[in-house]
Amino acid sequence: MIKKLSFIFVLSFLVSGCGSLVPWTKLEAKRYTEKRYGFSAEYSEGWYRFNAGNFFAITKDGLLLNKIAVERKKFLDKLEFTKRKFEESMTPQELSEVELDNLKSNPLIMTLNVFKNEPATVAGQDAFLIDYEYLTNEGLKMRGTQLGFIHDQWVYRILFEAPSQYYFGTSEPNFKHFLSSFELIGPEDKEEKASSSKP
Amino acid sequence: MVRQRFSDQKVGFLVLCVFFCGCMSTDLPNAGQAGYKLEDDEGRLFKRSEEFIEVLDESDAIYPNPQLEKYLTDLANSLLTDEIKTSGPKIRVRVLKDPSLNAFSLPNGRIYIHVGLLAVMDNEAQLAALLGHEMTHVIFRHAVKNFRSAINKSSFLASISMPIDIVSGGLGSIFAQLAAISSIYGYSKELEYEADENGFYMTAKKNYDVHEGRRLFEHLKAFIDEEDIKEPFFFSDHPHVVARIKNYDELIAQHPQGPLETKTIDSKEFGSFLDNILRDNTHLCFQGGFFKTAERNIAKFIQRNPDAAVGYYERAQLSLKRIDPPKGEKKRDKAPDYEAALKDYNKALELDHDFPEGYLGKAKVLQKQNKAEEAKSHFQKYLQLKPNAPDRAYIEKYITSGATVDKP
Repeated sequence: MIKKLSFIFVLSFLVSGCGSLVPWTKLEAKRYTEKRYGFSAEYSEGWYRFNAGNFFAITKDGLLLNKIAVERKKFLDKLEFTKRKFEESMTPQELSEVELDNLKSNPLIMTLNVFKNEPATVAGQDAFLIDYEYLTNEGLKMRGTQLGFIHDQWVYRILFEAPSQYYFGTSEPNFKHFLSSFELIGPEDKEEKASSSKP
Repeated sequence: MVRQRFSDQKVGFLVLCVFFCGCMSTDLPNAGQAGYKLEDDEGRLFKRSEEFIEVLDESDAIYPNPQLEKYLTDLANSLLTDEIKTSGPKIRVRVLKDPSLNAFSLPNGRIYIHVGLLAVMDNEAQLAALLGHEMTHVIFRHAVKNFRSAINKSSFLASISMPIDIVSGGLGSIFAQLAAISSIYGYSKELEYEADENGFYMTAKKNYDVHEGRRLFEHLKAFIDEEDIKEPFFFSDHPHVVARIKNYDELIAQHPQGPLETKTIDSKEFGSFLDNILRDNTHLCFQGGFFKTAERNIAKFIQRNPDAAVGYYERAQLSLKRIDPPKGEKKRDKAPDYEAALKDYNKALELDHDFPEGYLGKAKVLQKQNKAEEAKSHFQKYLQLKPNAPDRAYIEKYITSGATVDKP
């Protein structure tokens, strides 16, 4: 009896767990809702969502070649490279300064050129937009666009990054489409503990 | 019993392996001494250093100040004997835009000093102590000694793994790893002490006050404690800074220098670079979030330049940063202090009426305090004084939206 129960338990675990164990989900050209990250947006046909990380990311050719990532940070959460933190009272410009300090403190970035740092609007929120290019310590030139804004108790960070040569140009229209369709989902969804919603 | 015999055989086998694999000599003459010539493996370390330099020198990491580099390189060379200058590796010093307190040398004579380390120094004698230490690594060929010592240890490890996998690993891959490690991440405890000791003699010989070398270590210790960070690689992960101070004390006790007033401590030249170094390092500290170090930098700058508006401006900027307490300390985070910032912005504007950043900073504080009209006039003054301001788009938005803080 115990053996039978164990078998059923293991089987049910394997069946129920299969979906979340798949590292990549192929996407269709339609709107998806990401409850865990508090937004919905339209993705492009043939892109893939990376399910194994602790962040939202989609890519067409691989995360190193093009990626659109979204992250929500709580105020005063630690950032990756700088010891500075986002604060509730910050204006979009001040958020952009922290974000740039974080980029400049990244030890893998050898040369950083900021083309643009200006106000923007994302999903009706006052935001910042930074356009930049950097050289990695392995000599690869990367181009990126980063946006950020405060909504509710979160700092939203939206990132598009790809190698400057070829990939940035070919993937940028997909990012622009993603960004223009980006919407915040209602507060009733934000408490849900479910991971990224399945398409 | 069988198990014990097997174990004995294994140990015997390993001893034989180690015996036959041979050790590469780490007993090499110093650069400039009779018999000094570049070894093959050392040549490869030089090549690797050159590749590293090529990447670093073309990056944003270099602090762009050729006059400072010349001063540092000339000072370093003035500590060397003619023999070393003629036949040893050519010494060149460059500065890196990094607020942490580090310095390192590459085997081919290139020395990099972080601007953060220069900012804590008080005088040329401290700088000479640092350069003496780093140059000893080069002159005493610590890189190749370290490399060979690691290779010898690797041979021992390779001997152990041989019966399992004879071809696993390879010198090429070990070399690539060790070349980087030995140059940048510090040396063994013994080699670091040797560098301290010889650096001490080099500075004493040139009549620099050796007590200043000890003070440099004290600055470094303060930085480690204040910023709650791991010890920088100037110390490597071997001799603890406290042990290094003790070692330095022993050297001072063994070699009394005579009357202090006859010793060199400072030169006007070092001081001429220090103000810019302090300002630039303050910005780097802000960027990395090293606020305690920024505070020390600014205090030092104001002490040296009490009538410079920029010192008070930087102090105001610091007042607006949230400062976390050191790890383990239960004090509350220090929240932005708008009143203190306002006081310093006013002081800066009193000293310099046409200081655009002073108006900008003050406007932002007034904006936070919901004093919209006042904030607006200060934003306008900023744009008037700096029409091509890179943040013009943001400022114009503040002005048109009534200079209030946007609430989500």
